[in-house]
Amino acid sequence: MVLAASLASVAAAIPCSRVSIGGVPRAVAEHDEDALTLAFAAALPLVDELGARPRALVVTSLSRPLEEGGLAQTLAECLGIAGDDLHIEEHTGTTAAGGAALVSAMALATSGLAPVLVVLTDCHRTIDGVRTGDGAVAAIVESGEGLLGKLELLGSHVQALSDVWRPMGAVDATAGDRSLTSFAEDYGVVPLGGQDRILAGTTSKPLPGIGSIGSGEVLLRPLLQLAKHSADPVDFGTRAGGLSYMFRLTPTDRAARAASVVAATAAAGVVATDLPRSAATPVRSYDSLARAWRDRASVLRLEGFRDVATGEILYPATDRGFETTRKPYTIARRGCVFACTTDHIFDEAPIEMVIAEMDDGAHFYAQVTPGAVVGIGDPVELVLRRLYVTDKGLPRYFWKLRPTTESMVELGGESCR
Amino acid sequence: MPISNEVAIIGTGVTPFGVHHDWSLTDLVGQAARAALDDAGLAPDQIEAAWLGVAEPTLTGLEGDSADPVVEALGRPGMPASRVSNYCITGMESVRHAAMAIASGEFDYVVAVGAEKMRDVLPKESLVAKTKLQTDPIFAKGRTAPGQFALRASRYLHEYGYSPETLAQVSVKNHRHAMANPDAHFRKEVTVEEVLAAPRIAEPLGLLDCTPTTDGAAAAVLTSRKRAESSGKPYAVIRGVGLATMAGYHQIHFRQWNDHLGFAATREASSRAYRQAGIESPLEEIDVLELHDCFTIAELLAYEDLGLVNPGEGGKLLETGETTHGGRLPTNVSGGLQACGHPVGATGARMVAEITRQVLGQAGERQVIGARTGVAHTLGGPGVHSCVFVVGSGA
Repeated sequence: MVLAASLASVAAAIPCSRVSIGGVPRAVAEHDEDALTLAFAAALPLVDELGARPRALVVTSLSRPLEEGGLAQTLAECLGIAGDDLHIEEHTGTTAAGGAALVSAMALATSGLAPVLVVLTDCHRTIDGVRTGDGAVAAIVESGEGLLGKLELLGSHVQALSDVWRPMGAVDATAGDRSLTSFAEDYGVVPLGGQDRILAGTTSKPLPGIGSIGSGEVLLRPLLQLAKHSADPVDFGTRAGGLSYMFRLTPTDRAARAASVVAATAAAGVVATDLPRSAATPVRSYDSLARAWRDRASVLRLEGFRDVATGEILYPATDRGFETTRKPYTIARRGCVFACTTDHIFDEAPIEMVIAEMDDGAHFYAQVTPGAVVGIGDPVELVLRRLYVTDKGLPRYFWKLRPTTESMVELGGESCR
Repeated sequence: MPISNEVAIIGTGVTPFGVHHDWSLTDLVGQAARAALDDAGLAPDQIEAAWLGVAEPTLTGLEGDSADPVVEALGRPGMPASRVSNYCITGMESVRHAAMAIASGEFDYVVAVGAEKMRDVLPKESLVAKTKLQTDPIFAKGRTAPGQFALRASRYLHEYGYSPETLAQVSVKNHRHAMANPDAHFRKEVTVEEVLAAPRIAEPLGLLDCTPTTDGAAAAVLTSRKRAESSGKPYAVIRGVGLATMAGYHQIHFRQWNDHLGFAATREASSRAYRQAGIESPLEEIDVLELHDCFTIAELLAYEDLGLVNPGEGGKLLETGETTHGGRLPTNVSGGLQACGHPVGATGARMVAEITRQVLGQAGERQVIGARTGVAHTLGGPGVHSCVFVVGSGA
């Protein structure tokens, strides 16, 4: 029996900066971004569009902020989808885990746990000390007919022990490390229209202008292909560490538009000469895991309260004892700069601070994203960023304000400053 | 009985403000308290209770985390003493708490002291470090004191069309005033050009738009008006006192009612104090004013929040010279926080002492001739608190 599900929606978060590393332009995230913030940026528009909580969340990353995991849990909190009835999986290991996550999402969707949010994300990943490229891809997988197309698992395979994981760029392939182009033949897959299969793996070439973004490549590569050839079914797969997965996407008419948005997001890079680095003095902050947990609603989900009588939005939340007069409220993510300053007190570089008036009237006080400059009246949007990592290794996330341009609004997804 | 018109200030003491590596916090407390007692003509054993305002005891190894330095400095074991802390209004809070104790009838003579020892460390290791190490782990990242007031400045300049030159004139005025105050941290005139050319701290504020980091202490001895009258000595009377607290330190930046063109706490506190004092037209009825000019923008906003002029007219009031010594309402004739410095726990007590001396005609070279009614105003945090005292001559 063939495992088949449907693809309902897709989105990508590809960092803006393009830095040439090893002669290849690669998308590199800012110092305050990580696999979680990219995952959130990719997944948020899908969750917003879904209008309901997904039944399952499947996350893959080779570069989780916390070594012992916790990415999926924090992502669920940020997206406001956490709960006892949400099935969560977290995959890692090699880039092939992206394929495993897709298989799992398809299986969950067809077994009744649809819709499934699958998020494939990597950031600050290196091979032999070299940054490979950063990015995240998210998709909603459902059962039955999907808006974007039918997704089939053509096969999965574990190779013999003679296989090796070959570092990026290595040329001394050992016996048994079969090329990706021969990989599809293992399954006896008949080529469709003579097209090459789109394969992501340790030996695949970096994506032009983006680099190798890790686990998200298994979805990003066919989407970029779909943006060019909208009507054709696409065979795609991934292979690493001896594990391999092969899929076929048979697109609908709407798939090309979605794929073109992803392609535009991926292409919207800005060439930079240096790797982004932290502009601010590292902090040794007041640090409490208990407090991080207690504050997660207001910090990670932007939840405050709205006074029933006056309509005033109260954020950060101070709700204890006001249950009858204040109702939970999530503040708007877009607004305009109301007041701003460039603060020079921090040693290494100035920090831009802003008070923004959001579209719903809420006020928000936050840093501006690295490198951005804003003035009073400029449109801005909230983006999740990592403020710092505590001495105990706990990443603390909060929101920063990033200039919003009209083109970004049109794209409707993750955008560049 | 109420505080208003029933509580008297009969003695004040202020240490020199500056960098005092040879004085501890307790030394500073003792100097100010003993000077105030001398001024009142009282011995330490006549003081029945004390309040000490210290905002940042973590800068001094927790010396000042309670009021024990007053007891130690005055040699009064057993005396009830309490510490108060309320951000930058802390010093004024010590006076307010002492006044409440007199008004309650519990004590006859009390002393209020405000003190801060900020320069055992470098300025960047002082309150700036607190921004990085001791504050809210999320909401405060990137927050600094000048940064928060700079946000107000950016909005004020944008809304009303003023330029940084107007802000600079506050610094020029107050530094000039400080030339007549031997206790000020900086006694050196500055020009508009120098203020504008100073290193940038938080746009549009530069170094000379900001109060320095300073050590200092101030004290006041309080009793009832009736007891002061019967002594036959000069005294001042608290005609009104208002305190307002608006929101949490971080929450206040997120509040929709916050127009960032002033401080609602000042409006509330001054309204209460004026009502008690019967003041209806502040610009006409106040003779001398000490206000919280921690940053130059704060003085312009305070003009408006204290009801001297309408919103947007603070800059014009300054530019007309009305608030310069010799003008219609001399403001910060001590040099203000701009030149005196801002030992956080001491400032409010210093202001009350300054206004008391002014209404008693004891302010020396900087005396505002004929001053009978004065106002002292402090602002705490990013406008979370404000406290306003109206002090009049008791004679």
